[in-house]
Amino acid sequence: MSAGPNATEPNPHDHIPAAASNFLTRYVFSTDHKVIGVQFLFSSLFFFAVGGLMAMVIRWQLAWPWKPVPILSQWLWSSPGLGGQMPPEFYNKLFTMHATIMIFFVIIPLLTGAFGNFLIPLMIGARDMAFPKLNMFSYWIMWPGFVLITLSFFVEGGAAEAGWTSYPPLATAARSTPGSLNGQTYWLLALLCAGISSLTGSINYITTIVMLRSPGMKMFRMPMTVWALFITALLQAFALPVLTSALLMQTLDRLAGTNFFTPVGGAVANAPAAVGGGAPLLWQHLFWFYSHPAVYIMILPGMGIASDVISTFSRKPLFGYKPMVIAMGAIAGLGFIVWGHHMFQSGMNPALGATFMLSTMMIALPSAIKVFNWIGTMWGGRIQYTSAMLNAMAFVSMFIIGGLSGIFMAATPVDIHIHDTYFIVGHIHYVLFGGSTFAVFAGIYYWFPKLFGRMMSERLGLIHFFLTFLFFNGTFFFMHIVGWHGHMRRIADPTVYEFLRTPGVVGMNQFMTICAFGLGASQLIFAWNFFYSLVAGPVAGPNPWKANSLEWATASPPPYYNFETLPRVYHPPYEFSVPGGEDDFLPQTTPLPDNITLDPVMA
Amino acid sequence: MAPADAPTHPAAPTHPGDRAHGHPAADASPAPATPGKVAMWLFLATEIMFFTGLIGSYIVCRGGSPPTAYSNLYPPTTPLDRLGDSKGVVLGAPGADPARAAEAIAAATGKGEAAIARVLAAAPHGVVNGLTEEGATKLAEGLNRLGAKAEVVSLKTSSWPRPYDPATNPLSIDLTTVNTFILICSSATMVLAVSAIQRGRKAKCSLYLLATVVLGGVFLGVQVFEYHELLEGRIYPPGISPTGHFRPGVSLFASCFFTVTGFHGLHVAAGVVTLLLVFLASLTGRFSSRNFAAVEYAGLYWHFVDVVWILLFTIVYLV
Amino acid sequence: MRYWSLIFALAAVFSVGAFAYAPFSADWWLPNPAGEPYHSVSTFGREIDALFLIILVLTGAVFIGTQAALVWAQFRYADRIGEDGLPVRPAQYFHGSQRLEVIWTVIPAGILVFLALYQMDTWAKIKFRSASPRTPVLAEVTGRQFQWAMKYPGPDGRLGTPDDLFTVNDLHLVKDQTALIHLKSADVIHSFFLPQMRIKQDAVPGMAIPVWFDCDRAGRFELACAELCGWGHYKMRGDVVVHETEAEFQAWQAAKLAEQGRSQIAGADEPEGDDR
Ligand code: HEA
Ligand code: HEA
Ligand code: CUA
Ligand SMILES: [Cu+2]
Repeated sequence: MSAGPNATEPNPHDHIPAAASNFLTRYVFSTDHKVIGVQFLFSSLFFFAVGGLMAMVIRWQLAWPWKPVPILSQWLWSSPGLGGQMPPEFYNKLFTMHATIMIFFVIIPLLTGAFGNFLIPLMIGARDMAFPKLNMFSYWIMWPGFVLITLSFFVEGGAAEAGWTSYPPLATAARSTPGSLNGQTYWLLALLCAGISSLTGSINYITTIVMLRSPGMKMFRMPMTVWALFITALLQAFALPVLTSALLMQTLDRLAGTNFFTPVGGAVANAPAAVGGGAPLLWQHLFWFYSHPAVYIMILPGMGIASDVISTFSRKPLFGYKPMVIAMGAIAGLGFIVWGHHMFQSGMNPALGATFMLSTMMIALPSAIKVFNWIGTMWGGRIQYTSAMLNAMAFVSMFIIGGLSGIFMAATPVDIHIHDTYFIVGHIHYVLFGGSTFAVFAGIYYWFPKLFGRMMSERLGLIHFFLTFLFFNGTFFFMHIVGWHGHMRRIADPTVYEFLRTPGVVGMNQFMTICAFGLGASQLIFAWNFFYSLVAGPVAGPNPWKANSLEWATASPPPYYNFETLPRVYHPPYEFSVPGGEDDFLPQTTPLPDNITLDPVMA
Repeated sequence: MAPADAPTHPAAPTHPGDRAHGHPAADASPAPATPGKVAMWLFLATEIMFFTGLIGSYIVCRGGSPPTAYSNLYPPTTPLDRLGDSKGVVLGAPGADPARAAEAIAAATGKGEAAIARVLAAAPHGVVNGLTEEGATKLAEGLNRLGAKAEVVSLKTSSWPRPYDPATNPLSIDLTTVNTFILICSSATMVLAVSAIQRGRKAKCSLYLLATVVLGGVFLGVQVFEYHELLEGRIYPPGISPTGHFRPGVSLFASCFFTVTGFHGLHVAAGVVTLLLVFLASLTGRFSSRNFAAVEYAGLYWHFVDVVWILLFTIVYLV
Repeated sequence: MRYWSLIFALAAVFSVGAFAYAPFSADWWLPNPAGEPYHSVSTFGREIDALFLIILVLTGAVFIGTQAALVWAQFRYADRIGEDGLPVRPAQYFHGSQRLEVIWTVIPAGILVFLALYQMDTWAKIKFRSASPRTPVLAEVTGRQFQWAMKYPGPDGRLGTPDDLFTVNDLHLVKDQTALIHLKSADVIHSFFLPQMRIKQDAVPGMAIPVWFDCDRAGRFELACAELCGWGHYKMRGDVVVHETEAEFQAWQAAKLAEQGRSQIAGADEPEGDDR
């Protein structure tokens, strides 16, 4: 690890790269990490709207099965024979694409692509990523993915409908369901593109963080967000290639007739029997070997963002900075040995299930450390209720719910009952919306001034938060209850079952749907606030939140070279309310007062 | 571009092009690594995980394969519960008059023309299956009388094709051993290329690079030849494939074989192209004893590809 | 400002309230027979419910504790600006506490290890093959798009003989007898889900998985498919009928067999009806 020389004067050999010369290289095929970050931000927000709209249609069908969806039914599925009803396979397409888009084209690109790109060089005091061209590639390789996933709706048979988990043989046998005819191949190729993007991105992030920190920026002086992105990138670098190999094997099974995931003589829907010999469960192992770490890929950056925002708006040093970092590392490490908890009921050896239960329970430990440290950070602070802070607090409180529901599922016997029910769907959304998405909101409210040089409206931000938080809980909380009542997930019409036809269950489904519409509509406020502030928000100074980390030490938005001279760093970014100081914050570029020495274990 | 003697500093923005930065100058603490090298190692780590996925799947597939999945007489995964004591005849050579041999087989089994043609084409490992003890003996005797070479065999099963077993395994270990040797040689020339340029011997470096490219190309050529033989060129007995051709769909072994060696082959091809570019660049005299990162990285990648091959060769061909 | 903490308090109260109300409504609680909302019908069901409740109570306590701390911190430590435009109270300056870190690592660790070990026994009883009962097989159940095909051994007690009984989406068993089934799939992955008996097991093509359970109430229950298996996944529903006595089951079987014989004579060589 390199800390740089101890000279305080700027490095004489540091040189500022040339500015991009024309519109195309400045805004489109830009190698500037900030522009690439913004590109990721815009495309992911667009897909957020798409994926969210799909969720609205899902909810409509669940509350009022087979009732034609107003307006949409005419052009989303064209089967007048059904009287405007949604075909059941379309429902399957909806949740498959909803989840695929939300995970691979919204949350991961937002957290690692948008925030990762924008923040890493700024927060560690570098002029750009280590490999700007590779960085540009990692954005543009997303585009074939965007195009393929969109196109897949228009091919024969329509988009993939085997769930975002794409279990074979449903996903590999072409005739098993309409979406497996062609859509599944598009899905596989789109994911390969997204995967390559993440891989190149993560190589870039790790290299940048290891090699390009500014003088004095020791590893243990980096903001939590950078730590989180660093660990996330490591997770990606080691887990994603396995998914890549699995995606390729599934593609070959579909296109070249290989037998990896087809059992002996496997035949679906009167298709001729395959030679087979492979194992459907092999796919599940490979998929979850990636996708469990992937859920931490989606939460760790959120944890980093929440840590930074909470410390800043509590005007108080982060409680237990080093334990927080270590906990994050532990989550990532343990994340590699728990994948089997998705397969408790899959026919996998139950003894293996028991060991996976133990490792899964253990992962709650580092999570516990994080939760308690966040509360410890707020304790005794001067909490400022900005939109960013509220969203970060919501992250903490909702992540607790999502995490605790994970304990039920980690318990193998209890999972027998709740596996593949709405209890899981509730868990998913409490961690992914309540966790990751609130963190994304927090991050956007917090760094918007840095991104665009303008402030977002706090008033609209607070209204957006208020409505989102309420409707979010209204939408997803009852999923736990219908879930333990036995409500299966991925079913287009629960009323087929007697025990799900009761007034209580139907009522909860309708209530959830109405709240979901409220949740969707609340996002319009955010969209308005975002775009309006982009052009007409009040101009922000370099450091509107009086925060310490390096990105606030340069102009808003930062010039293409980020820093006039590379800043020199003296301490971790959480020195708020240092006794005896004039201000209640102490930028990383200002030395600590002489009378302060930091606790070597905690800070 | 910065001048070649610019000192390296972790804080300096270092682009992949600025390989010169990689060298510690007098006034900087020696930098143990450059961004390029870190990235290269990370890239190799992802590659290792990728092949872990593939090879792991190969091992799982093989471990999970039931003991009766492959047999010397029937296509892979044929249910053998009722075929346990059926016999087969192995046709070593069709003799002077293959047409008569074909007639004899047709008379004994009632197989179609295409199937019999496959038996003859697969000689010396042609297999006539589905016979009773009696029928097999009669057919073998009849064939031997015609001057063909034939022999009665009983059913033998295994969970995976065994090396050097022509009834179940189409892979030629001899050919691939030679090919493996070629690839190892190319790794050696690669080492020599890097050490040459480290000592500033530009011409020598180019020469060794060329040798590496050529050896890599030969390896690929042999692999293409092998694929052609398997996919098209030869006819194999039913224990390998019901159609006579060894193609990805005919068995799990075939799926695994083509996938792992295919992706390795793609990596070799990418390596050869890269090395070719590096070789061409070396002709311009771009590299020197202070600036040879590109040669070094290409070498790292090449060694990685080589190591993976040795692993694959062992796992797929030898055991 | 500080009143923002109330919305978090509200969410916590709402959550706890919903969970507290749930047991009082049959529709909100675990699925149980219509007349007896608190009686889970199977042995495993009762064990699972007990474990579920333990986790519910433990996580509930953790939840209430953490939310209370969070809301209190939000309320108590909200920034206030005095008349003079300056904060009334400075923020405390500290970086953490080793003792606290140890405490809140060790206590949850204890709880979690306890929880994990406490589950093992039930898990082993329900899923380990070594625990499967030594009783004759009740039926072979095969999932396929989109129905459950049952094959009963018939009077001779052996599968694969001419007197096997075939039914579709209709599983019959006897009260208080452990039912052992062999679970298979003919095409894609399905999942055999008996909500009231708290049984779930994926049916994987190429595998035969034993599943066993019992039921202490006669009556009619539902069998669901819990794994996405194609466009008709949502309607892959079956009936489960629990007979009061063995004799009743035999009578049903005999009647069904007679029917099956008749329809076979009538030329329907495909015993399982296809209602797609
Ligand atoms: C951001 C995403 C995210 C995160 C962070 C998590 C976190 C966790 N998840 Fe989740 N999970 C998903 C996303 C995520 N999950 C998704 C998408 C699926 C469904 C996939 C699909 O099938 O489609 C899933 C499914 C899933 C399953 C499979 C269920 C099934 O299909 O049957 C399981 C089972 O063990 C599980 C467990 C856990 C656990 C134990 C954690 C832990 O990390 C949580 C730890 C946190 C806490 C526990 C809370 C804080 C701690 C305290 C307050 C301390 C004290 C606590 C105690 C003493 C108990 N998850
Ligand atoms: C990050 C992940 C994520 C997010 C955010 C969401 C968000 C939502 N999800 Fe989803 N969901 C998943 C991940 C996610 N989901 C996953 C992994 C599954 C499992 C799929 C499977 O089984 O395979 C799933 C499944 C799933 C189901 C279960 C389907 C089934 O099993 O049958 C349901 C049902 O209610 C649902 C509902 C919703 C709703 C109502 C929202 C709402 O919160 C959505 C509200 C949001 C909007 C309406 C968008 C508004 C946005 C804008 C307007 C953008 C504005 C901004 C600018 C352009 C600047 N989701
Ligand atoms: Cu069968 Cu779902
Ligand atoms: Cu998981």
